[in-house]
Amino acid sequence: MLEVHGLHKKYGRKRPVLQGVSFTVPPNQLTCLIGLNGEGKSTILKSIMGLVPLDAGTIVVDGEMSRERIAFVPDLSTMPGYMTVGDAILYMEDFYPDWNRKTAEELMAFFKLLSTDKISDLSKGNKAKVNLLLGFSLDRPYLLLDEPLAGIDLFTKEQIAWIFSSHYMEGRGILMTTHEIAEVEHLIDRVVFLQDGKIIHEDDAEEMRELYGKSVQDRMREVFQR
Amino acid sequence: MRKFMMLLNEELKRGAKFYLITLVGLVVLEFLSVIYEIKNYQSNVEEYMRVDRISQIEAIRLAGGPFNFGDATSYFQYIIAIAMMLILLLSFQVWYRDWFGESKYIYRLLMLPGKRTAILMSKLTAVILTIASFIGIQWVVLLLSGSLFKWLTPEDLMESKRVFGENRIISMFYTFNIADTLIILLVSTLVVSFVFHIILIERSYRKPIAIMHVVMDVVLLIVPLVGLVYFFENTHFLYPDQITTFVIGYFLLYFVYVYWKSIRLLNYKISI
Amino acid sequence: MRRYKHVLAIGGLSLITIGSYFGYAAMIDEPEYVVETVQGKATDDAVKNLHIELTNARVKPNLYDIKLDGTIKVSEQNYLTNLYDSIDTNYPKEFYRFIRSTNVSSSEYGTRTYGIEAKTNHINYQSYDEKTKKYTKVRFPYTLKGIHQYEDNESMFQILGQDKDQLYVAQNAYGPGKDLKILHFDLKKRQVKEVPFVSPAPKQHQSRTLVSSNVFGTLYLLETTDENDVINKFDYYLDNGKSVKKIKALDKFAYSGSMDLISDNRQLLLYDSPEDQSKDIVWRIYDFKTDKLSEHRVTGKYPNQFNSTQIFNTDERLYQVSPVDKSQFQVTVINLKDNSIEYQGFIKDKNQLKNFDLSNVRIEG
Repeated sequence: MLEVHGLHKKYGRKRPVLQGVSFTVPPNQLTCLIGLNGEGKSTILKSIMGLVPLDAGTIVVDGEMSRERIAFVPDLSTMPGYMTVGDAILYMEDFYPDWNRKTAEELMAFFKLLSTDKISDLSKGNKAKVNLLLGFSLDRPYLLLDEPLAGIDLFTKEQIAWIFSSHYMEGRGILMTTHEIAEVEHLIDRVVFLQDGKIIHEDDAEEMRELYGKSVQDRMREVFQR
Repeated sequence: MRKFMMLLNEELKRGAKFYLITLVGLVVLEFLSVIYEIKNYQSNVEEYMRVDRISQIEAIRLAGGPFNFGDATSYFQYIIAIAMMLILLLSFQVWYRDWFGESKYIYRLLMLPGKRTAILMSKLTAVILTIASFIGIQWVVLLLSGSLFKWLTPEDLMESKRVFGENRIISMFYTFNIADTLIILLVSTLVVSFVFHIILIERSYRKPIAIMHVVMDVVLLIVPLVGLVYFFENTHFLYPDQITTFVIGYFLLYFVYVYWKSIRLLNYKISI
Repeated sequence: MRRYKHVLAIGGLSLITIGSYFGYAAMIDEPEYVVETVQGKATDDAVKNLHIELTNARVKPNLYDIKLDGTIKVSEQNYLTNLYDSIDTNYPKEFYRFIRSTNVSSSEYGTRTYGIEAKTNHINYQSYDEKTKKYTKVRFPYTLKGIHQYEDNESMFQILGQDKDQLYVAQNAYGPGKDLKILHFDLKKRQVKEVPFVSPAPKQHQSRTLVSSNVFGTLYLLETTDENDVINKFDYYLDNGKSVKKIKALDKFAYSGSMDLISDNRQLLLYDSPEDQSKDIVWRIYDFKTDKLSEHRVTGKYPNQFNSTQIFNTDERLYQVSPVDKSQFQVTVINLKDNSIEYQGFIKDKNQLKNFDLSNVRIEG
């Protein structure tokens, strides 16, 4: 279980971005973190990964305070533009002992990426694919995805969406932020609603659908339009 | 260690283009300056002889005396100054290029497994290696310029064929004493470390707080040092040589603090 | 290898280029000095503690400390060692603190450094002799009157002569001159007495320079300048406390070079840096008792070089070290009692490297 306890974050004298955020990401489930623009969704993911220091709060992964069981797929490219896809893969292989070369090769083939493709020359959609490839190829039980479908074309979205329902997701606990809820509605297991820096609601998506006949989007409207 | 070496290689790889262009540019500039100085002197002497109708000896005197290697390399100090400015620029660029631009490599760096100290050390080592290579290349250029000087300068215009000890600025860098080269590299390391420290403060705090931290750290360096040296010199509590040892020791201790704080900032305060 | 390609490239480049520089430095010829004695012995009292320091002016500035018995000590000079060149470290701590205090007037005379502090009703005196390592501290019950406060405390007192436990000191040595006092410090009896000085203060366009003071009186040079401050007249006078006598024997010598008391302060030794390219060492001795000036001359083997020769005296001897060329140096020691050469020798570099300059000559120990 990925447990987030009491996250507080404030930038200067402005109102706090995060005010005591606590929630869990169970293994083998896809948890979607939903909030309007600027609510702090990306900040939560980045702070879990240690990219943004917290004012208070703890992150516990399967009972340990270690980030080395989490992989992160941010919403932008993290490899220098001069690198090729092949260079990026070799880089990850060099630095990460839990890098899965087989998964990387499979995904490269699936996404139709060439090892000689220079990252700076790739389209936005292909850059997103490279990001996903780099994240999914780490054999880590938890995966954080920050807006994986933002600003990309329909066909690329479909390819990426297929990954979310494939065996690459098996055994992983996923925490995702996205505005493209419709594309992944059928895959979401849990929903966490974030507003004004606080968690205002958590729902089991399956329960919502079966017991109340509501989609995640319906629930989202209910929660945020109150 | 492995992480450090791989990161170091990556840092050098990232700056390879900038490095090569700078190196080739500066070397070419130095050779051209030597040729220019020799030809310029020669033409001055010839012009004095032609226009004033005087002997070569008189013309040499008017041209400022016989020509030596120090004269031929008079532009080197400016080129060395340019190189130093570029190294300073590199010290900033080696960090800021990871934050700004289309891709944010800093995300990748900060998420790498293992200690973040390796990030700081690899960037520092990359800059120091660059400095070391510049020192080495300048030495080679010096030798080749010496040959160029002896080849192009007519013997009757030459004061002597000596290459070393003729240019004061070059003599400061090449004393033929290994300890001096190591001292130059050590001082460079301390300067670059301080630049890195300021950058890490800037990347960790909002501007007003960052400025306060930088001011505090500068005050911490200067005020106690100046105060204590003033105290020692006025009370004569220590001999001058002991005061020198104290100053050196204080500097080294201060930089232990700088490293400690830089690593702390990298581990706990830095924000993307 | 792939992983470290760039490290190997730039690291290798640095290593090779800087390595070649270090290699070149290691291959620079070092001198191999030998001492050739022509007259006298290296073990003679006159020269056994003489240190001649040579340094390479252009490349690899090692310092070679050579004694005439052939002992050579090589010190590497680098940026760090150059920060440590203070002579103060040789002083005992108490003495160092004393002479560096604000109210203490410090000066050097011969091998001694002096510090004099004027208090309300006593004088604190300390001295340290570099040669004998003797540290002397005396408190004189004496009230100094009429001390001028100069910005630079060095100006308050000038040592005019020393002889074992006797010291002659000028108070207010520099300045308008009307407040000049000559003091006699007896270190054994712990007494200070004012020595009578009857010379009038210098007039306008005149300046007085004190040369020495001993049992015969205080010797000084009086220079007269014209409206353009050009010296057009100078004379030496000896003030014995009762009268002032013009010393005609010194008429020809404008105040340049060295003028030091020798022979129990009874004679004045005058010498200058040798004339360029001359082989002669010339010195003169003025005897206070006979009021006579004698000139003495010895001829060395090689011509002197004006700017590079080091010449100094002790109470009994005159030492000159002069470069022959940049790889050979001649050492001449003259006994001032009988005005003859006591020692002559040559420091020669077997490798004949011509880059070395004379850095310092000193007697230590």
